[in-house]
Amino acid sequence: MDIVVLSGKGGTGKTTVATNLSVVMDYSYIDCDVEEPNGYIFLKPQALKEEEVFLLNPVFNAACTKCGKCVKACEYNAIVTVLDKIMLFEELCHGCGTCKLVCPMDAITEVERVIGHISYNDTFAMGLLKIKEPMGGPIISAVKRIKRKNRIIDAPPGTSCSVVKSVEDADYAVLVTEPTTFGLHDLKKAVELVVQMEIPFGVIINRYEVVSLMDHYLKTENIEIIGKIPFSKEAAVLYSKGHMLIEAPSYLKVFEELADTVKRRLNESRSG
Amino acid sequence: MKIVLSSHGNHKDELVDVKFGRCKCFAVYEDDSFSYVENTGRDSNQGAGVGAAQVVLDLKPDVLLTERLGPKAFKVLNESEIKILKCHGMSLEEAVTRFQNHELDVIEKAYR
Repeated sequence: MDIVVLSGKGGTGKTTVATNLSVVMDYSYIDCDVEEPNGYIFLKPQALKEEEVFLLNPVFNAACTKCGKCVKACEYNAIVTVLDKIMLFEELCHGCGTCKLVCPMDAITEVERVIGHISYNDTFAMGLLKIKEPMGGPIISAVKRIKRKNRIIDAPPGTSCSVVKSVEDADYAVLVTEPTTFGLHDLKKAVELVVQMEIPFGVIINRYEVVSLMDHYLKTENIEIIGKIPFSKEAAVLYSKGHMLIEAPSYLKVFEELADTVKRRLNESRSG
Repeated sequence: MKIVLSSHGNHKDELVDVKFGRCKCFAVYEDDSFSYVENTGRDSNQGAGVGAAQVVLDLKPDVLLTERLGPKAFKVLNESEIKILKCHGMSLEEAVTRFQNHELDVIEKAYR
């Protein structure tokens, strides 16, 4: 079973929800926010194994006639021919291999280039993209290949390709939002995404104080609120020290109730 | 002498486009007249500057007139023998005249 935690807006509490929920539900935690993974700060995983993640980049050998077929075929404008030279922009290359396929001279070989790494143990996994690398997709795929019976997948913020990749194949989605105009704006995008991907979902309102425009939207759209995390200084203090919210009894109760609701929804979606 | 300019449209009175990679089209000035070429780099999801640079390179001009170049387009074009000169807020025709009068400066580094 895979439960994905996403939000649209950044900083709403995805990692807070994902880490605490993974402990309460006894699920493995998978951090797909490979540009800035931070779940490890709270879960403090031990004895991590590391693996490098590669992308295949073309290398042009002496047989190259600079015919330009690969330049035209490259969807990502990663290759150019200048005078008698051929140049590759590594940071634009997606490693798709089209250049090698179209080359009439068999002048292209592919070499592995490290773009980041994954670290994992039995209950934890995270990916980390190298600084200056623009493409997190291959790291997310690699970290998602760490199979565990039950997983909580912590998605990156936004609703871009990397989020789609994180959400893909999930059995249930938990959307974390906050009762602000920005939170609502980006939540709508996240809702659109999970609806289009046909993944059952519910919403958690973090930093909940009073009924707001958020409750109004969710009611109008008939979207289930599966939990509310109360706004408090206590939560902020725990977070700032790298502690889990469930270390406080009141928050443990919040997350236990949340876990029950999520389990029920998971069972319903499996049987339904 | 063949001059290529990043252009806002298909007329000599159009302005030189500030954007290089995603300029509307390229104007080609040769033998006292303008012709126009599509910028196939324009609609790229990424690497528009590199795509546009390839369009320019394939035209084999002696001179490129534009406002500024991103780091990748600059790196590519700097490898070629094309002279790159800067023009700001002028029409294609005016840019060519100013070039002929040696009033334009060389673009020596990428804009970022």
